Amino acid sequence: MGSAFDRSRISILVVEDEPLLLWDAIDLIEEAGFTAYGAANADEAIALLETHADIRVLFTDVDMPGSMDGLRLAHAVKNRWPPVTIIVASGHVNVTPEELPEHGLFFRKPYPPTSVIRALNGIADRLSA
Amino acid sequence: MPSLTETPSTPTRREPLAFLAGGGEMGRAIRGFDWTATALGPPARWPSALKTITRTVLSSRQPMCFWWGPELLQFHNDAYVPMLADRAEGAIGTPFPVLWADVWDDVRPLVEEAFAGRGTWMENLPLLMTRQGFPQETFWTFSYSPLHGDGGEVEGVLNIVTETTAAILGRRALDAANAALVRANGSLAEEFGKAQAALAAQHEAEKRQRLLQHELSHRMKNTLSMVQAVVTQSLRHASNMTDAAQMASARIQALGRAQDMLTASDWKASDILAVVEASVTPHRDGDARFAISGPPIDLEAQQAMGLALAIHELATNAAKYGALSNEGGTVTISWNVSGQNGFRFLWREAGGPRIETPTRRGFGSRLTERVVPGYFAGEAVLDYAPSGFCYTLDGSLKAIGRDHS
Repeated sequence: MGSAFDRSRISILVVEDEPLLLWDAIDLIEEAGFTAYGAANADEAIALLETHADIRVLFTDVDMPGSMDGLRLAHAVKNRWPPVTIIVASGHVNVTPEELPEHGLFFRKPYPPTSVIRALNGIADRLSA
Repeated sequence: MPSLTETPSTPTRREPLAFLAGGGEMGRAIRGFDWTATALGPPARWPSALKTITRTVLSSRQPMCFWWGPELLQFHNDAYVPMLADRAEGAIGTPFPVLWADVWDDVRPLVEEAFAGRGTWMENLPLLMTRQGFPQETFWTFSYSPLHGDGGEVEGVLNIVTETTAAILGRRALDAANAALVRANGSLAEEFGKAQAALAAQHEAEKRQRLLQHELSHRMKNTLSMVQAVVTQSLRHASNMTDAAQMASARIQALGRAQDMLTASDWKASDILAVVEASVTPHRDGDARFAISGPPIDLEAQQAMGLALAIHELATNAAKYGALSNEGGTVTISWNVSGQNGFRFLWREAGGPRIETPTRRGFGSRLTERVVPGYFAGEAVLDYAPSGFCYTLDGSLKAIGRDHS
């Protein structure tokens, strides 16, 4: 049962270049019982993935400075860490399902916190099933 | 040619003027002309060469004329009459230079060539010729051939001629029409080019407009996201709803002031002094409260926003517990740059009530300690010294122009 599963063992990596939004997202995720990591760009995100095997979800913004934007990061992560579930958020780009990696989710910013938590809970239930 | 032998006008050797029999109107005109007054004398005594050529010309349907004798008297056939136009009346027997006075100078060299025994051939020779009472441009394709007398000397000039005026003028009109068409085509192409350029410019403007709208929409979404975060965090950290609402409202206003400055600078950069001044203005209650100093710096948009948020929290906290909460407290705000893009920002309070390190981390301390350093890829230290609170932010300045807000 999902509810019996220890959520803190599921880590979510949040990638967001706006520090205020990163803080808010991390708070939101931690409040829901998950473990959260924060990265300001794709390079930081990759470095965290390489050192934290407990990361099961990538929750990334699309518009970011650095070597790749959120969509490219999403595909790179899907290729290298296939079990990692991808969630993409953006206020800028209307991302189509074809642009997302398989089973990827998209949220338009500003996203409703409850919808994000519901999605994370769904992922947690799948992982613990 | 049996029909020829049967015609009554068929000349016979016994009649001296038999060579003029038939020959149409011109044959009659030649017969009716009084040649005795000319150097040629009566036709009956004309040299046989003249008789032969007269007979040949008169019987031909090709426009032909010839001039004979020292006076160059005019002979021609019926087919030639249209060439004469106005001068047809009484043309027979008139000397060339008299009959053709208007073109004589032009054709004289050709006549002289013929008398020298050489034929000439001219194609589409333009001649200004008086017709219907006024000079007209005419064109002629013709040959001048020497006519030899019985003695073998050149005694006349044969002119076999076709007027090409209609063809030339027709072609000229066609050329003009073609040229006009080409010009029209050219100006059409030019107009088309202009229209295309105008369309392209309009297209470009629309593209810019769409890009701007896109950009504006992005900024709005980003601002809404930040407002949402501010509201969520204010709610999370407030002890009651009234506080939460007041704090959220004040923070949103601080965001608004920072955005005003960014809008004024096209969202690229803000002068740090303007950012600091705008952020402390709501907390000024006297001139001596703030001492602000530092070198001029253009802050990148996101960093300007982050610093504005930090100063708002610092000032709010100072107004509640620190140097802005009593009569004589002061705040010294300073910053400096070091190296390539090193940046340090200092907020130092003095003269306030004695403070203690808070037991609980609120929105303000978390924002200034953990969130704002993120804007500068650096660190922040909150020092709750009993003599006065001090906030130190160390980080680096972002290059201006990259807008990822």
